[in-house]
Amino acid sequence: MSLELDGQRRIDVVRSALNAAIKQMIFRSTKGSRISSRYRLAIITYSDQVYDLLGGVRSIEEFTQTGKLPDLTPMKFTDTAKAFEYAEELLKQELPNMQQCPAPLVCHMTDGAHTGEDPEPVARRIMNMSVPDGSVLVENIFISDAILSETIDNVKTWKGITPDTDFSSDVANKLRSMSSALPDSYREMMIESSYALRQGALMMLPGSSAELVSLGFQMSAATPVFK
Amino acid sequence: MGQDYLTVIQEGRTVYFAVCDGVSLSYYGDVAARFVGDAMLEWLTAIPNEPAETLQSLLERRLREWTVPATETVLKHDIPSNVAGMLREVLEEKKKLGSESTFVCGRIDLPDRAWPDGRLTLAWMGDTRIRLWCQDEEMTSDLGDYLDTGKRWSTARGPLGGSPNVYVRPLETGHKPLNGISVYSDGLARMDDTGRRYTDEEVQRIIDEVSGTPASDDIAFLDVRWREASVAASAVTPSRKQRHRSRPSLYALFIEALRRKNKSKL
Repeated sequence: MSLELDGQRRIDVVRSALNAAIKQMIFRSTKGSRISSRYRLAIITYSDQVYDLLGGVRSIEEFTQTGKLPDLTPMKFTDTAKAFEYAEELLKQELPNMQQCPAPLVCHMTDGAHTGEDPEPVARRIMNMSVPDGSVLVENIFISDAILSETIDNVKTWKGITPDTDFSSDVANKLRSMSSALPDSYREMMIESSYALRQGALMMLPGSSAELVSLGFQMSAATPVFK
Repeated sequence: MGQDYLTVIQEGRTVYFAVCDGVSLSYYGDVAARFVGDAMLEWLTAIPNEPAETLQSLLERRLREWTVPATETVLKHDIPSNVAGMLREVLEEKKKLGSESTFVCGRIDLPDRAWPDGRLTLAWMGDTRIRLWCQDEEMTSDLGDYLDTGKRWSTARGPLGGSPNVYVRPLETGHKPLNGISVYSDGLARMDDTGRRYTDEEVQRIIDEVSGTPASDDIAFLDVRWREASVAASAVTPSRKQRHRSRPSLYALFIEALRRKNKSKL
């Protein structure tokens, strides 16, 4: 498997996509030069250990005051279950204060099979957590050269992954079972950005190009904003 | 920081007003609000005696033409020097996209030789509320389904979401003459659909209550009233918030403009 995506190092593609998603959150949170705490985020990396890069959940205002994205470094092991358990604990702390908010979203990115325990039960527990707006969403971006039988020539016209999409990879099947259905409100926001994800599409993306990785992160920031 | 803009001018027997609500997700929405408010007032002072459809075409052209000076205004607007990092990058990107605002602007011509039945001219884009009154009876249904949530004006791109709306009618029409108009930004949406006209004290109380909520938006409220049903022989120019002593055959003009900035919240 190539260590590059579209000629760039994978880690640089991830950093660039994450940067774009955070800037989108800032864009949606500013009025004049003031930022409202419209978004709260945590950034976790993991190998056989979990690393909380922001030291917990931070508001987008707090994050902006730090000035920049934390350093991301590639890891060797992939204890996905441990990372999801950490996210589960963060959500347990946050949800009581989010009863008037859109449902939180966990955006998970990986390029390989998990090591350690099966992460699916934890992911399912997270998807069963909810606020009045709806269930917590789990999105998966799987960085791989050949997850789909057909290449995606135009991301803007791509219809998305559904429960019936054919995969040749067990890892992809596992990640699909850990992915939420794309809510209509998110889908409408993506359509406004000229994407064509169909109704019933899942929040799972093959990270086979920088553009698809970026789409995955954009989806995570596409919560409806009311004026 | 408030992004609403309200301006009122009275000249002789004509009142011009603009209530503009800057779009908070655009670049400094107050820049567009101020620009389009002032530009609309100037436009209203010279509108020809034409039907609404003609005025609409004229206005749409002017809204496009104004993007040239408006873009210069935006480019000259400085991002505060203490803004750095990703926030500054985002604001620079927003600056390229321009500043946006909704607006309701109007001109009230009281009856005189030029306008024997008087005239109300309104132009708007967006979801700022308009309420028309005959005494305390609401006449807003004359506007039809007037709220256009998706429409606004952009300093970079001109009218967005469709064409501007224009409405023209005489003040005096048989047994239901218009004698008042209220205009307020969507921050006071709780006043909608009540069918009744609020007193000054009630409006102030509502403003105070709404301003205290975490999700409160900027607030602008304008109420213009005029009185007397016979043709006026002389012009009156009451000062703002001053009630004119009525005499037979004279129109009294009451203008109450309340504007309050939401100090603490986005």
